Amino acid sequence: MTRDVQFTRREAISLFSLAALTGAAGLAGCSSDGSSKTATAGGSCTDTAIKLGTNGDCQNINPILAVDSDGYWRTDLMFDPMVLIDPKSLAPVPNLAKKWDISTDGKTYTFTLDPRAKFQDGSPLTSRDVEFTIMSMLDPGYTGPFQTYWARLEGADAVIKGSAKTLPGLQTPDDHTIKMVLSQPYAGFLTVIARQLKPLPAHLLEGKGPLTTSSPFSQRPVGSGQYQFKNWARGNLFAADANARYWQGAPCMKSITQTIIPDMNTLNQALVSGQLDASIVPPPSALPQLRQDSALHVYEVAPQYAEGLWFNLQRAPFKGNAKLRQAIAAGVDFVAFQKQFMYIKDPTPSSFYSYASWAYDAKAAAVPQYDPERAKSLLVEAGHPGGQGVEFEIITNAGNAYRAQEQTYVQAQLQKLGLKVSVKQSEWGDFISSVTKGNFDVAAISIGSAIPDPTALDFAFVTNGAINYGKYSNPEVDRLLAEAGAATDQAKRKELYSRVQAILAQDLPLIPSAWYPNYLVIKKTFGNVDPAVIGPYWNIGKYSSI
Amino acid sequence: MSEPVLAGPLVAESPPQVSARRRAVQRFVGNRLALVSAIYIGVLAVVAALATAIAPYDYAAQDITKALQPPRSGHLLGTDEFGRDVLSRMIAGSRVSLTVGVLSVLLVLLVGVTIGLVAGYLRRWDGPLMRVVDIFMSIPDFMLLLLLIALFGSGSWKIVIFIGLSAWMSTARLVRGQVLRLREMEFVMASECLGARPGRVMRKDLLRNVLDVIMVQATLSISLVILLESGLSYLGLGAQPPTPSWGNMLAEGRDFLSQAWWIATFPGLAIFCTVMAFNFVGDGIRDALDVRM
Amino acid sequence: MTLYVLRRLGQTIAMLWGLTIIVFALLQLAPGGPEEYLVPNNLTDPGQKQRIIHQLGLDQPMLTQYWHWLTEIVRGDFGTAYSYGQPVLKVIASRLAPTLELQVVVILLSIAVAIPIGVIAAVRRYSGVDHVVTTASLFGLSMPNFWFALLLILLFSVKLQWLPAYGNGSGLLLGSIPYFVLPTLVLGLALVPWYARFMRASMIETLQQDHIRTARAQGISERRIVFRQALKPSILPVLTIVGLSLPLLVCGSVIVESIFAWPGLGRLAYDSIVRQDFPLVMGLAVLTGGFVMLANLVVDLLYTVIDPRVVYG
Repeated sequence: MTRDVQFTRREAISLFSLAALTGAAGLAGCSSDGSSKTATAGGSCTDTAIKLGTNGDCQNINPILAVDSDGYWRTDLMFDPMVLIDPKSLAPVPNLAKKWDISTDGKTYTFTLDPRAKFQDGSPLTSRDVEFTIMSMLDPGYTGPFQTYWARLEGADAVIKGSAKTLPGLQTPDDHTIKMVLSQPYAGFLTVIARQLKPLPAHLLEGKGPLTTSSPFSQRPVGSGQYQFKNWARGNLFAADANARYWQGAPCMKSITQTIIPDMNTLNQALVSGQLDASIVPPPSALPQLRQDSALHVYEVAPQYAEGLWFNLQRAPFKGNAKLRQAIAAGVDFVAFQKQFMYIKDPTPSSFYSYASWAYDAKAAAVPQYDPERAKSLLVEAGHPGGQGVEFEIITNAGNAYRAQEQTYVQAQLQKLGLKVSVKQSEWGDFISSVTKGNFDVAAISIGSAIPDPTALDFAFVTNGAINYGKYSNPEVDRLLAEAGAATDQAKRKELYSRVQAILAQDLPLIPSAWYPNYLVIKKTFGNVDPAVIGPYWNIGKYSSI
Repeated sequence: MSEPVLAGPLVAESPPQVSARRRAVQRFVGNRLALVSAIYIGVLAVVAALATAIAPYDYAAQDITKALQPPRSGHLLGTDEFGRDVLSRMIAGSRVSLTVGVLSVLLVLLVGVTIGLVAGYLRRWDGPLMRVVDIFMSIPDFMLLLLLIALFGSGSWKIVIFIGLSAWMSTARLVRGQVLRLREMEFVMASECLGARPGRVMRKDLLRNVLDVIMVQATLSISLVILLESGLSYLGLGAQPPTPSWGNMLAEGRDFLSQAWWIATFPGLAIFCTVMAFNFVGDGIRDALDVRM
Repeated sequence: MTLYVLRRLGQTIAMLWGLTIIVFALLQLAPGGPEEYLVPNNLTDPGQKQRIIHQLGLDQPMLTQYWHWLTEIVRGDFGTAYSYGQPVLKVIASRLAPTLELQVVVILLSIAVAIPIGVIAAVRRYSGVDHVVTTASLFGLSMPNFWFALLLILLFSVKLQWLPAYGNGSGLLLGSIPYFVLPTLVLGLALVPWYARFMRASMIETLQQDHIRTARAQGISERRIVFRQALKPSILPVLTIVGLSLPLLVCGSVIVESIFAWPGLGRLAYDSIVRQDFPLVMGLAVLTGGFVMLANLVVDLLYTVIDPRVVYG
């Protein structure tokens, strides 16, 4: 269980060489000489297959369009990210880019691509493909989520508007070198942006117009990664086979199938009966039983997202009343909730940044803990003694057992303080629409984790940020976050994020109610299983059968 | 059928009821299953009406320290994951299940019987009305209901209206079929000869004589609606928390089947028994009145 | 007669058109729209939603969208399902086979089981057998199907490990039989009682008719009566059963398909409605609605052929 708070580092760049060594060793798959393979850590790689189960399918398996977790890890398998993240140090580690240089002003990144890289149809992967991929994301007709990432390149705005066809911030001096120039330095460039860059085969897609969900390529992707696409029956099944000619060595796990099982109970029973091999979405209430199952192993990994109760700061009674929000935080025992309903043995107190992130500051991020007496006095300070005059509704989406339980629980606890709380569940579309339009009092929805880089959370806290649902606005926070995003010295950034967390803990635009651990339930017949905070299936290629 | 929406058997003959109600009641009482079921429903209705007055605990009162306790004294049916008393929730749930059942069916009857009467009696309306019925019946069972819920949200009251809007068709067909036969009969013709207007004929003569069919259809429909509501709750579209209904208690409890079987089992049994009771009563009425539908 | 058929066909088309209007109008009333599903909630790019809306043509007025869709349908082009990125016809076709397979198996087996039961119960009316049948039927009709499914999975998949808990195997192949067992049991549980009661009621009515009484009075054995005189006209109710079951072929059960992860049309309809995938919802409504209407028409016509007493005005 990787729950340790990460050790601090001086500079991400200086770590690169150390990480390169550890990373390279960790990432190499089993050697591929065509002979029968045996993984070094035990177990065989012959005829290995794994059947995964989940309860909802992703929208896209095209890497420039994929936005949800299943989409991410499937595209990670079929394509090669430029860099990977080391699961322990969270530092960037070479993958497709075998080395990189960063200019002293922090704006120019020069990547050298590994010449061995080739696509699954045999063609070599060159800087042309990388360029094509980035330009696709800057195309005016692009409908995916990554445009803001690449908008940071010099001259990108003109391309996005359609007034330019070439990008000065992107240069390809030769087949294996690519140079990216940012208009502003950005500390998260490697760990956030380069991590998501998975080059598409330009020779298959050039001149075919902008890629959308319905393009043939999006239905049958071809990449350079360790797995080859086999089949995707939307809403039902996804299958991929090992790429025997993968340039870094064929993976040990030969075949991966993921079935969509909409009913959580059936999913659970299939794990218990053995019809499924693994799943990362076990229902929490099943955890005690699964933990006792002698055929299964339950891994618990630091979370990638937290559940949060977001306040609409444009509406009474929350507008301008931080004390009321603090009272509510103090009035609900979230620690007991996590123990009881999420079966977490040792819940950590709420925080805005995941405790697994290097930016996490346990002291500064002291969100008010459960203290009913304090809650009562805070209510008085807030101008609502005994909860008088406080009436609001918590909304969430139907079909999420955790959120449904949270609503009911919070409602009962706050009612003890005299607050009138009602709850409502709506269909996803209706719910999201209400949230994004600011049509709510309190919304139970998740917030990201700051893994691998805290800048990912900026959009939740800056004025008019895209995921700043409650319309929180604090110029001090805006300033600190902008500075932290541009700085390159990690110690300095950490100090800035600590100050942000201290302010957030006072302002409480949302209450991070629980960090929901990632679970991986898997049969004990699989070896080399090592789920990490960067993703439970991050090294699925190395799973063997024992 | 998986989620049958009030599909009734074929329509056949039915002689006009003039007297013999007495005999019918006697026949019903002689049918032991139907009698027991009727008593059960009566008791249930009383429980549902009194609900909070007789429940041992507040159905929403949480106490995590007492969560997931098996049935024993103090909590006759155990507690759920929030520490709430299952028995009290069952009692409150009976209110929701019965209310939704009865009110939905009343709405269905209102719409269905009216349309059936008009279509059966007024020839000019027959064609178009039946075409409308056909359109609605061509939509797969659940789909219209799901469409309405997905668009307008769920909740007990809305469910009542949506079920009413999506399940009236077979009642309409049934009533129309009955009326088609009745309208050729002498007492109807006599009424017409006396100058009664269509509305009056429909109200006075026809309606009275389709009442038997309606009664049987109604009881059978209530059982189907209760099943429907529990199915919707299973999908998360029924009564919203913290209001308990047997259906959503079952849905919440299914995650705990292995550790706390009582949370889901008792509501499941309640649904099963109540639905069966209504079915037995409906059958009993049909046999007692010798209604051939 | 041909005139009648043509008239009915014309009515069917008009009804289909009415159906599309009703469904489309309902979809328009939804808060939010399909783009809410195509755009993730942790979106960092506010422009993305606008681009998707534009790409889907959702920024056009309602009537324009409907008109475009209608004219394309007439040409056989059902458009592309937003949430799948594939042509609507392709998506529906991929779910059609599993649905038909399961439903055909369920309906055939249910009829095979229910008819003998219904006949026996009718012939031995009011006897012990009849009571058992009637009561057992009501048991089956009263059981919540998802509850029954849960119990079956618990018993057969988890405890006994005899049958798989989910999936449809490889379709209608011998090796896939285990996958069909549990869903068939669940769906059959509600269907068999319904058929059996219907068959029983029809048989009873037939047996009470005059020509049967005459045969009895003539001293013909009960057995011969049942088989010769009564069974043949009872074909009519069987036909009715089959006719009423035709809509089930394309119906699919949302609950059963969710629980057993059966890739069918029921779950497809549910998903498409929830995600407000206009082309897919409309395509499903038209195709399944049209099928049902046609099936009803065919059954009605068959009635006139089989039983000349039935006359349609």
